[in-house]
Amino acid sequence: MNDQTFALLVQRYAEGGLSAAERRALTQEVLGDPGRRQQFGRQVRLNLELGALLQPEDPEDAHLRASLIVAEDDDARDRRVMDGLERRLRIGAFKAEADRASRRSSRSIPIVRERPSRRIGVIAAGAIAAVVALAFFLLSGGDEPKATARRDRPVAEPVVPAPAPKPAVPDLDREREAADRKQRDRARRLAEDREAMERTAREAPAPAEAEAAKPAPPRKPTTVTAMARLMATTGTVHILAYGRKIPAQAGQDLLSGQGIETVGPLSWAALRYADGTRLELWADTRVARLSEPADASYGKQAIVTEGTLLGAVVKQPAGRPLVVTTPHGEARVLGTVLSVTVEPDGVGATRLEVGHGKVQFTESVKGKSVDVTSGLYTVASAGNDMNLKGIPPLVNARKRPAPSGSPNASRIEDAVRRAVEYLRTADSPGMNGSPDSDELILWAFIHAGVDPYDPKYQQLLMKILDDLRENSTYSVAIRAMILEELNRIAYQGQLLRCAQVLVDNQCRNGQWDYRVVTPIPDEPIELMPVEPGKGATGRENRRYAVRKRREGPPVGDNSNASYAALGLRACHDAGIVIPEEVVSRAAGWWVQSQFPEEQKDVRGWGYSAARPGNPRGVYGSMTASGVGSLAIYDSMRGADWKKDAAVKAGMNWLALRFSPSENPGTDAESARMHLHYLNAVERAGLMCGVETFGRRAWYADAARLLLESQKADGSWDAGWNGTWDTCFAILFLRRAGHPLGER
Amino acid sequence: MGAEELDALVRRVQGGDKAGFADLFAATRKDVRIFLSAHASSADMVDEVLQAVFVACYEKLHTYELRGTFVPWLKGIAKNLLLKELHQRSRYVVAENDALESLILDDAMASLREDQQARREDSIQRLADCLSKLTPRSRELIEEKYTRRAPIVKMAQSFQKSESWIAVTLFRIREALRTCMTKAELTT
Repeated sequence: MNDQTFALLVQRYAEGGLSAAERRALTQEVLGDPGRRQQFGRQVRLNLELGALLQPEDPEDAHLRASLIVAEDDDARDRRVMDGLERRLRIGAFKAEADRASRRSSRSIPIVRERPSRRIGVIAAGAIAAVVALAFFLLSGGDEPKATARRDRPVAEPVVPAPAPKPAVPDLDREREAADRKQRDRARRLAEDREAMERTAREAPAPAEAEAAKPAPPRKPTTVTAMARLMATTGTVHILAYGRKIPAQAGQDLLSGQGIETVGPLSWAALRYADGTRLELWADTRVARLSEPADASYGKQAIVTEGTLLGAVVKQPAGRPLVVTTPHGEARVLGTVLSVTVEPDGVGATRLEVGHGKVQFTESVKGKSVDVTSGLYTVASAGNDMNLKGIPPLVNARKRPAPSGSPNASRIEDAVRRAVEYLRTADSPGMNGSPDSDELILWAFIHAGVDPYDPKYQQLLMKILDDLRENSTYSVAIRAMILEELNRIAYQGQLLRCAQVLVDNQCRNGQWDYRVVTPIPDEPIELMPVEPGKGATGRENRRYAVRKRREGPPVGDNSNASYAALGLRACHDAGIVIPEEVVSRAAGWWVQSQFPEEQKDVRGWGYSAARPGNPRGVYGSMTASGVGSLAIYDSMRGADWKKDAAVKAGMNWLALRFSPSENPGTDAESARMHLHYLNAVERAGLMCGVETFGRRAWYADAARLLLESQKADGSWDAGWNGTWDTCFAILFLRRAGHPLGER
Repeated sequence: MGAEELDALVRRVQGGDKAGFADLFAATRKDVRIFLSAHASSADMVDEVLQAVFVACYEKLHTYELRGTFVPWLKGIAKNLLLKELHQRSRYVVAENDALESLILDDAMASLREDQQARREDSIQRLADCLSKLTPRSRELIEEKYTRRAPIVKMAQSFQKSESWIAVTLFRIREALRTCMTKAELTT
């Protein structure tokens, strides 16, 4: 190796920018030549010393750090009351005036010790001038990324010996036991903290009293910047602050200079800046530092050392781009609407995907820059020439080919487009226990093929992801379907929570009711790893089981029960194992609640079971829902729905009674549910792989009618309300369902 | 800030003036950082231990006796914490099979175990003296790198040179500084 190369590699070592190949070359050179070894040691040492000697002292930074130490000590005193010191630096303890963020671009916040604020900043979607979505995947395939990641870990972490070879068969009992223990410990700690915080709040003197009791010396006002707020988390999430890891909670504020990491396959976190920019950390992701220096040539910076970071970034001020730095490169958000991905490919690498807009990506070894624009990705790694390649759409809105005889595809596209335009400004009415219909609208948007970076789409998605919206069986079920559709791996933790809510709220008779009882905040969900490799779906996901922890109300209704089945199916497809008792009880209810035979092997379902005095009868939407639900449960149990007598009888009912123009049946309420009925028919038809009921081609006939009945403003209104009916129509026209066992 | 002034600040903090701790921190951080940089294996380690030193300092400040030895007292804390970190890191490095960092760690632990504090302080002073002897162009490069903390990619852009040129020039400047320091040591 010549001197020039040696000097270059030493410099890169000092800057932490060596590729795996360069590291090997430098190691070989240094170990093979005592002179080089001395030079190397000398250079690295002098590099550090020069850095320390010449680094300018920043009085504000000193003041901030000292204040944090003092604040920590105050916390420690509190903890004598509160028990335990571990979480003493609670970011949320600094009053962050993030709710005023919309009026101020940068906020200076006096350090005042208060109870953590759990307000969730609501950022008007209308303020989002443009949405930029970034996805960074940092994969660790070879030596280099692992080494880099470990180097970046706090040095105070427990030292881990070299990993022993893993047994071929996982010790599931031990793993489960360890997971149980960990969850119990966490639950206990959280409960203790909650209790202690409440106690402290009760016992704390009012500020005026405290002031009177103890004349404190004048306190220098110190300011720190609350940069972003942690909106939602699943699994284990830590705030990284000065080498410490503090368990994170939704609602906390992140200060400039702090980092955040997600740990474990179910971990996930979303945070939002005052300007509406949103970052999402997927599982096992470490953002070593988030900052927003006032005097740098960039605005926001995120240093990602491992994992996947997805961002929706609003347009940044001129000359202050958002910068994402990884061990392999640096991405600068230049344009308006974009998305990025970083991943390794055998060796350490950063993959940058741009969904919308433009990102300038500079590789760290050679300094080569490329502009990555919408729909393209590139990979930065040793030896990679950073070619631009096309990426598949982030959301795979399935377009199932329509059967022959269906209306022209372009007419359907046009109708769906007009319907979406209607929904953009339509009301979002309360929906059976939920305060709005946002989940249903987003579900329709996804299947309508709306651009994932569309502002309205992003607004709905953020709202659903960042708030734990578990208001009703409908919303939880649709939420589960959305998450599974978007990314069953990244959102597996949230799907696990959806499954837990559904399982815990199953009625004693096997139905579901409108309202759901949600887990209390932070109540841990048991992680029960399940041996992988079984089941038709979730092949690429780790599998986890949920356990039923409580009973729901005595009875519910079949409408809610059918949505619960859809939600449970989505969770099942994402690798969540639903308890057998729940599946059996649900399936049992559908079998026993089928109405008496109208003809031989022809039976339908109503809103509830047939019983004396029940005024409600059999109708089409409930029968289609019953067929679909029972087929789902058969499929989840590994049974063949085609041999299920109740499913066959329900299909026979639909074959006999199907009408594209009305919700058939004897129930007086059924008339206004025409589009809800068509949506249920479409699900049942596609799930079971049938295109006709009796002699009627359900899709072609109903699609034609729908095209004719669409109103001038793009909506449909069959008697419920324009929003719901338009959503149902879109789902029908786009054939949103999918066959059982497909995933 | 002199030893007596520092002791006066310490007295304030010991007496309950928490705001005074920020002044104490600001007055001594650079000394501790320089001390750590002489023995740590990376800039990250310097930052991590630096913060830990001041946490420990605040917690133990009531035990400090006002004898005009506050900075040495701080460096004593820093030495202990740094040794602990170096040991922990060295086990990590073995697991990672990182030969390069292993070399740096070995040297760092050896130098830290030797009680050469006075010599190190002289060395830093010599480094400062030698820096003042650099040519303006070299000084500019060094300041860009270490004061403004520019990576070489950026430096290559701003100086309109190749990365290699920047790296080699910095390398040579450091070698020159080391030679200058050695000469100065020999002549004193």
